[in-house]
Amino acid sequence: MLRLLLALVVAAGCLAAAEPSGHDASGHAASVPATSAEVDRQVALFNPEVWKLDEKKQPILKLDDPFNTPASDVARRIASDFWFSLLIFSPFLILPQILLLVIIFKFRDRGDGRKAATFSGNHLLEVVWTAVPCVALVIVTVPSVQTIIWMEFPPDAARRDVVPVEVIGKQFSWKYRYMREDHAALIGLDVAGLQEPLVLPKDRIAVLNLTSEDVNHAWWIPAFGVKKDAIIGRHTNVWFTPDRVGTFKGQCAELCGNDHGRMIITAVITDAADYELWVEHLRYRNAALKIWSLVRDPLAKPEQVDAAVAKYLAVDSSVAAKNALRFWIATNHASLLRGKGQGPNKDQLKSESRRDRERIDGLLNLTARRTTQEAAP
Amino acid sequence: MNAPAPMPEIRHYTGVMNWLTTVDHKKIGLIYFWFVVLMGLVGGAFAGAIRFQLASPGATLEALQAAQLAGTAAPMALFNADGSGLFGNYHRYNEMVTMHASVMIFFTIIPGFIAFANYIVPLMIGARDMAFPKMNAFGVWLLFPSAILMITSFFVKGGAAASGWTAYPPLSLTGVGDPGQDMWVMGVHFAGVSSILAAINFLVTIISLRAPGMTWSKLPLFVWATFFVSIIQLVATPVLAAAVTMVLMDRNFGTSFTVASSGGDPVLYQHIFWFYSHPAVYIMILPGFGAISHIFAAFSRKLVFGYWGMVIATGSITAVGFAVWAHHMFTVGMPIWAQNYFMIASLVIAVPTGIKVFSWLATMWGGTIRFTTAMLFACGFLSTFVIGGFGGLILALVQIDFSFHDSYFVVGHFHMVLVGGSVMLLFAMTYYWWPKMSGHMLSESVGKWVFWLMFIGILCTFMPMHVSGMEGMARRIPVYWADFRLTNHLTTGGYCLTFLSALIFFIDLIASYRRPKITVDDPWQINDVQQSFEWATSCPPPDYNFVQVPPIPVIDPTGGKH
Repeated sequence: MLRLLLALVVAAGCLAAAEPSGHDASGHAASVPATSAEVDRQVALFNPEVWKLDEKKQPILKLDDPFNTPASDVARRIASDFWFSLLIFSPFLILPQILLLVIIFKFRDRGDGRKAATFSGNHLLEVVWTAVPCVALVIVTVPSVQTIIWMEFPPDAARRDVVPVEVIGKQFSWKYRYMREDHAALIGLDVAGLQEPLVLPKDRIAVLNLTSEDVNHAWWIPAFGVKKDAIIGRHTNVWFTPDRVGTFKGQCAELCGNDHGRMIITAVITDAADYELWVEHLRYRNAALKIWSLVRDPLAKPEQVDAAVAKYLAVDSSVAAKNALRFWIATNHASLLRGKGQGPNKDQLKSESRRDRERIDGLLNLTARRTTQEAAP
Repeated sequence: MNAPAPMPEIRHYTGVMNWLTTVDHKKIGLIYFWFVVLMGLVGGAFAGAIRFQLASPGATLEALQAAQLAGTAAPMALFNADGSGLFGNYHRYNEMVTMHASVMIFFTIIPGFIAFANYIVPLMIGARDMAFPKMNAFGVWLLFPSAILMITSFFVKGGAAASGWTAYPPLSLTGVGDPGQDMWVMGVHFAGVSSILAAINFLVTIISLRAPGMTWSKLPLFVWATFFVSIIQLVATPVLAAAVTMVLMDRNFGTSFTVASSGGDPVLYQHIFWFYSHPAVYIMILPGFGAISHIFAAFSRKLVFGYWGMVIATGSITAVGFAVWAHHMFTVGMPIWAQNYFMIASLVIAVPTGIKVFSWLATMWGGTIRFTTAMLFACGFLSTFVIGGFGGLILALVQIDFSFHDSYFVVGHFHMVLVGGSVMLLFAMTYYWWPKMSGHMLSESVGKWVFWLMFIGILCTFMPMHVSGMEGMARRIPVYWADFRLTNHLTTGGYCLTFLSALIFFIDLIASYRRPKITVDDPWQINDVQQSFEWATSCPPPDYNFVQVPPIPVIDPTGGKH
């Protein structure tokens, strides 16, 4: 029943995708060539640095939790349920402690000949301390049941606007596939072998469909208040609506082997325009990565790179395609620098990055000029 | 009338052979006890290795990642991704996590209560021995091959089991050919058989060997608790055996109970495993609940408050405990009705537990309380257990459990009930019954140190764990975000206090044998107020406990008010 309803939700989402809505934003975002600073901004946004420590060895990117800094509707509801249950239950934590202290100080044997009481039962008392907790349980259970039902079914009004993502756990990384986009891009490990983030738009429902390729994993970002197991042979679903722009970190929460502790998760929540930009970039990802591997191949001749870029533009020479290629070259360099640039080769990697980016910029402009020149006569 | 029953002819060994061949429930109880003490120290040392890894400020996720990516040496740690640590790599860390849990559960806490039950239950009901003395001996000796299998598996190819004590497939199915996981399964089998044999023995003993006049309505609460726990062990432990056998067969014999690619389901294992392992939680605490009632009553110089309430509460925890297992696995995804049912059933367990807590408080109310070490541990238990149980209430709520599941909040919660609950209970029971069991007193002045170190240590270790979990720290991880640095420092500090206190206790336990023999039957002067059989014989009791059928208790443990 639950699966069926979630399938309906996803189907409704797909129908919504078929409508030509939201494409205006992407068209707008990609209609002008991006400046270098704009590419850097996108790299910082879509490929955030999650490992960095400040000089006090504290992480620069703080971990958000659902109770103090929630970042989704689910987390907010959980936080309010949590504080409410804490309030209702707290007498059962505090009262025994107080009574214990009273007993310790009041009924200590001071050797003054006081005789111990002889009662060993009181029916009224026993009924009271059976019934009162029952009442407290009912008070907490009612909103909890409501929340559980709500957490299974996304709100009606927003069902058409979902972002369904397939999440596949594999020792020791996550793969994401946007189920609604027709490109084949699979987000996974970047060129330095670190986990790439999942990029999601703010204020739209993200529906994650989880599975695993090997052992059990669990996808958990505390700030969103969701945790769901990824199990081989099963598909589990979870939804949430991120409502705060930013970068959020989490990690695998089910013991999955040697590197379980380093199977991290990052999610980037962007506004609608940036998300459209990201989807646009993803469309060109696989083609751009081919050029990237040629650019980084020491054996590749410069003409090969020229030819590859020309071929890339032959397929699609739109501004969006050019911006995407520049983004992927820049972001891969950022990953490399982060992964291997900690030691003495930092400056070298930096200069290589500048060189490659200028080269691609040049090639994109050059190729464009050549095309116009060839067309002229 | 009342003529001494003839003693059966038995062959007497002396020295080591006496202990190896004994079928006396008291000696077997002591073998259990020393096994548990040693295993507790081993398990505590494993915890120390884990805490050392998690304490080191250099071993945070970011620093390690940076060092490793840069190709420089990893920061100081016992376990490192590149295998440069003292214990090799993170596989060793996972082995340590698995073995810490397995040793503590299967060899410390469960047999810990069996040790006392073995010694005290026949005394309490006025029996001369357990119903099946040889089976009793078989049960205790089974624990040794079990422990040897588990602990020596560190040294075999591929190392010990590293899939956690839950051994979830498919992770526990990896590394086929390495015997570690299989040795773990066989170890669980041996411990399980030992547990089942003990359960059968207790049930038969309690049902059929009670002294004349020791009716069910006069049964001491510790005996009631042992009775209920034996039912749990008898019913649930074979289910655990089934679960781990599935792992064993999937690993070695090509079956596919849990192999998804050939039609099995990993979640099937989880359901079967938790069907045992949730009731196992009550195996690990209910006997102590029974014993602590005696301790509160004894040192308050009163009778137990609400005897029947206590019995019914223990019985209902037993019954409902079988029906809440899936609250350990809310995140695997289950129907709404199942989520709601398991949440409500889990919450319901809080009611009988609350009855017990309030009845203990009422037992002490109006008494003239002597704060011996046993009583201190009992009061400390009440305080820490209430905190641990409170965490359980919050965890039972499904929507909140989605955030807390497999986080350090869970780790904090179950350590608060297992260490703040069960271990404190075991200490209280030891300080209470050790004079009876060994004939020597433990030092009361050292005992105060042991208590305060342990009480502060437990609070300091496990309270910050709750905070780590709320902030988002996952469990079973060898490296962590630097966000959790402060809470982990506190936890490691608390661990040091707790382990120090355990060591002091261990030394005092050995030293107690050098103190003079107790000459009185009832060193705590308990039978002035209540009458219980175990304090009416010598310390330690003679072979076969009672020469004559003991007199029916003059004072009803219920206080005559049913």
